[in-house]
Amino acid sequence: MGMLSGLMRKRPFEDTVDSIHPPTPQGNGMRFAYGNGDQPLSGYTIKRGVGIGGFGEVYFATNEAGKEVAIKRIQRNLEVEIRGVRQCLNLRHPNLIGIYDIRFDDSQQGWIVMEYIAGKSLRDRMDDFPDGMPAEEALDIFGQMAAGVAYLHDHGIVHRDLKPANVFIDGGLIKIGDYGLSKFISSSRRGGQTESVGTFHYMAPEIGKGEYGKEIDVYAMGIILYELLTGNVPFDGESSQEIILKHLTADPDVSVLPIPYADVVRKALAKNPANRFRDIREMLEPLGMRLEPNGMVSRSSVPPIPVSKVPPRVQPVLFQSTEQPKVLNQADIVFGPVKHQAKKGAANAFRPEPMEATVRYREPIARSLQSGWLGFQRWYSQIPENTPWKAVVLVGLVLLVIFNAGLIISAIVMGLMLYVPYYIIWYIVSGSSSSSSTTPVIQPLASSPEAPPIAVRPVAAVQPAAKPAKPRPITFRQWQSAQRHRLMAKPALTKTTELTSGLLASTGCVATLSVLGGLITMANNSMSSPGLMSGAVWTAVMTLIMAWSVLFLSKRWESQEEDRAVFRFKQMAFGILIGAIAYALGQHLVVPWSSIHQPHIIQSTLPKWNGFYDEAGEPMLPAYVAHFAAVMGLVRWWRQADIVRKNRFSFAAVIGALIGEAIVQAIVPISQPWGLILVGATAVTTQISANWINSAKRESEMSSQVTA
Amino acid sequence: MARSTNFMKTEFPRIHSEWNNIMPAIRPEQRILWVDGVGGYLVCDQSELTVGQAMPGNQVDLPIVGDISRRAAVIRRSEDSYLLQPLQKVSVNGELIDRTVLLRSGDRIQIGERTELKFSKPHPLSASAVMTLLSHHRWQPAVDGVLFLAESCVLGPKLTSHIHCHQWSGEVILFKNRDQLMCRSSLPVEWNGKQILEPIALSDGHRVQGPDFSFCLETSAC
Repeated sequence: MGMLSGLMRKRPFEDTVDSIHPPTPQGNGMRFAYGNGDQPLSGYTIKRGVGIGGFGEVYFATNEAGKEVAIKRIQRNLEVEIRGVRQCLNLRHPNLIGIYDIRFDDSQQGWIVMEYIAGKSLRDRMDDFPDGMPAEEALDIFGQMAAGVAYLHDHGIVHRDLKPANVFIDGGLIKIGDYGLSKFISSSRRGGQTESVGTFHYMAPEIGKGEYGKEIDVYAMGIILYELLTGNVPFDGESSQEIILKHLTADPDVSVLPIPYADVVRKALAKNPANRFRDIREMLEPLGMRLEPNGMVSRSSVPPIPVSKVPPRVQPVLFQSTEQPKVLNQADIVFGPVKHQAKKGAANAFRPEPMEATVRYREPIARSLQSGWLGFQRWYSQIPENTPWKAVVLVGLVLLVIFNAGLIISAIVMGLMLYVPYYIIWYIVSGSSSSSSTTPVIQPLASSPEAPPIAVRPVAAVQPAAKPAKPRPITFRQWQSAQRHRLMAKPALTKTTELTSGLLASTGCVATLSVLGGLITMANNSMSSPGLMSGAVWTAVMTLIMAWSVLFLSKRWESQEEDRAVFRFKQMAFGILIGAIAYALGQHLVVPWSSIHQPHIIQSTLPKWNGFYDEAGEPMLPAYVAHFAAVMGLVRWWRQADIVRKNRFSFAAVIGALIGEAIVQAIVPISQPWGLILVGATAVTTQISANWINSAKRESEMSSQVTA
Repeated sequence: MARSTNFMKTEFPRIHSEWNNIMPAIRPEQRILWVDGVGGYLVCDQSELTVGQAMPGNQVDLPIVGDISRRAAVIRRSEDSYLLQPLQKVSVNGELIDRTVLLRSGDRIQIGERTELKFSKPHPLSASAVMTLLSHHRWQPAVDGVLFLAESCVLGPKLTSHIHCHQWSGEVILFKNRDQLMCRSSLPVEWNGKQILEPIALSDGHRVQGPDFSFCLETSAC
């Protein structure tokens, strides 16, 4: 019966999420184009169909002399696929399925002639052990697989589609198949035409970003090792979306594994490729195995040692990177040798791994300071030696320090006076508990209103798994993160269109608000005041400009993880511009600020900011600039226009913005109530006009992307 | 272990083994059932089959490419019981046998030093049985197993099926009708491109297709 349950479990695994191909009428069964006796390829007589994989139908055939071979009809028959196989044509390793020939039939359909393995696939073998294999057999299989993968890597090939269904057991010999073809996945999973072949259980998180280094094979090997030992994949789910999400965000539950394995799996499944084992050889070491010069794996007599320096549960830094994902061009996608991105990228700071590796402090402020310093160091060391820039930067810094020495010293003293008590409190509150990682509130997946867009296209035969899947619910944050990841693939044109429609909508919204405001003032019959009209116009125009700025910025940031400091800073830069415009507009419209309502607070603060206000108490250009820069920097505007915000419209956000304005008003006041109206109106306008993925749209958007 | 049965104590006449060689024309043709996605099975409905080494000129019913005698053992079926007669060193479930024994479902048969087979009679209501190689050897021609066909056998997803096709949604029954091998199924079956409801006579090279399966009987003269 164990076998039966294994088979039932097998279905979700084997479902190829194949969105382009017409859905085959049968659930799991196979329909082959050719049958016994057919000779689609001259010289080979088909005996039977063996299987249908992601890349085509495989047949068992014999040639005229009686040689038994497997022939695979390459489904899409693309040049890139043929080239991929051609590169592997002469690779030879006992743990790889041999490729004999590439042939074309009369209709120029490509076929691969390869070694026929009569044995089971590793998938079948694993299904015989629903609770995992004995460690001895698992290690043997893993070691042989590793030898084959290491051989591929040594020859500059990344397999990219390692999974038990691609691995065959020929007697006691493990044979890896489908190498060379798998390159094709790369060009399909990104861009508009979403098409994926194979299961998602073994796909490393960075595949979604188009990165295909050796690390993805290390990741897949980690998953397979876990599955060999436990009988389950670490990240499972009802739908492909759910599985991908877990690859992106969830930590594998390695507590079920004994010591060397738990560490090996954890390290191999690091979200950041740079934190994984550098290669397969390194992965074998802690398992007590070694790759011999003859290409085979041997078990060293040394007992398995625990992996040292396993990174702790780090946040997936990869996805917090503010950089846009590096989009590979067509030339990169083409089947190819190992891309040494990780190594090349060390200097260009595409990945923040050096920083993560060296930031030592746990206290957030110290941490950010240190990482900022490291970032500066990296940037500085990146400046070419022979340019005068280094000197310029140095001299500039020295001058800055000299001229502002007094200010800097007092700032440091002030900072320390604030920081030391803060640090003591922080240490008492959270620092003493070693694992202060906050676990977000976990919501049950099914009932949560913000549930991720799972089951977009239900996988062909999603069955209730034989084993109740461990509930690993997803928080709103995780959903957001995955959503942003998906948004990276959004074409620039679509983004522009969305931005334009948002800008138009905000214009309409501002117009409506202005009319409403006008009606209210008329009802109060206070149109007599001379400055009122120009003040209202000023407010409307400024609202529009602020809303547009926010919309523009958050559209740019929609696919990025929130990076508050950077976002705030950029907003502040916009705020300076807006302040300048606000001043110019006020001058142009001749708004008599002082004659309108001025809160008394101005009088009390005026002496402090002599340069900001004239004798009449009217704010001047610096006051405007400072005020708007502060408002833009203080309020988290991007959240209000975030495409994956929780609710389309939130009053709390409006109130938050108003509080921010009030705080700024207390320090650098401008004429009220215009400031408050302006900020409130901006908050309302951005939230209403910025597009938003709501639950109904999630479905339709996803399905449209799938069929595109 | 009362494995040796009394009534079968009579030694099998050696001369009979030579008989096949002398008169190959009488031997029935070889039939292989190729089940797509599952495997190939040599279909045998004779009541007596010889296992031996596969080599040119050696006409045995069940040739194995292995280090075994040209004639290693004989398997005989009477009614619904199968008897194994050793012609060389043969052991069943690790026990060396020196006379004809009754085979039970699940028995492991070792011929010579290395060749190991598994005998199973999975369906309680059918006398048909299946034999597969456990060791890393192969049949000649390359099939995945041998099907001893009594009256009928089952291809399907259940573990009691003779040929276990775990991805199928239903069962197909193969049965003998005089010399013809027929098949029927509760599933809609297509044969030669036509939907057929009544039992189909399997013939060489014609593929039987169902909603999620396909298979074919290949007939060839030995």
